[in-house]
Amino acid sequence: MWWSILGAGVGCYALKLAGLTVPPRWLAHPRAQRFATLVPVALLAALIAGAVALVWYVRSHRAQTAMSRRREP
Amino acid sequence: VTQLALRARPRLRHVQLRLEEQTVRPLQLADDQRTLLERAGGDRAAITGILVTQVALEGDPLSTRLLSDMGEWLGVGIATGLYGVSFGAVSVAAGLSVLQTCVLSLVMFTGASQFAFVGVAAAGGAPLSGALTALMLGTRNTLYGLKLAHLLRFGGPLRPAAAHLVIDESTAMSVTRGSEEDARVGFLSTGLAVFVFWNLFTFLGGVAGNLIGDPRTYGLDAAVGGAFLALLWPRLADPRNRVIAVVAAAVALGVVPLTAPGVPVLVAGGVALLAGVLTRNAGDPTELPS
Repeated sequence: MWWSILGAGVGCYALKLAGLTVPPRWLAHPRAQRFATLVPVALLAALIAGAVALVWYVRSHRAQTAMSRRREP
Repeated sequence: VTQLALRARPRLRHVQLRLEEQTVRPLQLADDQRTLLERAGGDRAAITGILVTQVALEGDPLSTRLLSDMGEWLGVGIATGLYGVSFGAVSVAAGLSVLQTCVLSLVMFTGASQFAFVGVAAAGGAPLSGALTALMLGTRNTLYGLKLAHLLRFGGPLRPAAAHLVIDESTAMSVTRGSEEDARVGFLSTGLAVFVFWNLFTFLGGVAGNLIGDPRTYGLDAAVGGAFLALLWPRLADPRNRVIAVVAAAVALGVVPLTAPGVPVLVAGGVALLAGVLTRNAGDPTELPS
């Protein structure tokens, strides 16, 4: 866990620094632009879908437990 | 508090520097700075937060702007920082220690990636999946950096330090500014305010999370989805992004039964890479947070 935390943390910092440092033409390629635009959109959409599904699952599961509890005498 | 905050803000330092230049040439003193300097008795060091507040109450435009700017930076910092409570609580509930949670906020310091990382951990995914998701989400900061590089022109030792502050909020608060100086001040002030409050509230959230138990009881899990939605929403203005978002969400949910936790999000990232290879027209290079 620690290695993932530090690796991802340093990696995210490197990505920020790269933006300020590399010559703009490196990332001026249309394909790199498309990746950098589309990847966050796809990840965010997937994360939202996952979060909504999880919340919905937890809530419905909790409601079911409450219902079944109420039925018991 | 106002005095301390104003003294800490680079904005005031900027005004002070400008005043210093212009006391040498009093005739060229800009009208908007004259009132403030006169009230300080001509001594730029005597300009304090309390004085600025007083002069602002008397209707001086520069002081009013200083105060409103400061309110804006602190406002963004506090509002974003409050999300840190939810992050801290969710992270601890996901099984990370308070120390690990705080290190994430200090070192990674980009909210969406952090939420994604602990989200994968909460779902029981491998830490490596979480790290990959966090890195892929972090790529948008590279785009921000590219936009900011020639707007802010940070050089020397300031650049590595400033790079850490390249996040959605600081970018949004600097690209809308007119001059290079205003953009720098907006970027640094917002970035620092968010950094301080985000880390402070992460710690509080982590400690509170240990005490209050499951954050789901308080609806904090719903706040995570909200944080992602706030980032996604402005991007949906582009029709192609809308298609990608729907396809990615559908694919991610579709592969849930087939894959390990955390992997569906990576598959969605793969969908985006595939779409990037297959489509032709260039993406909007001006895409920035609003």
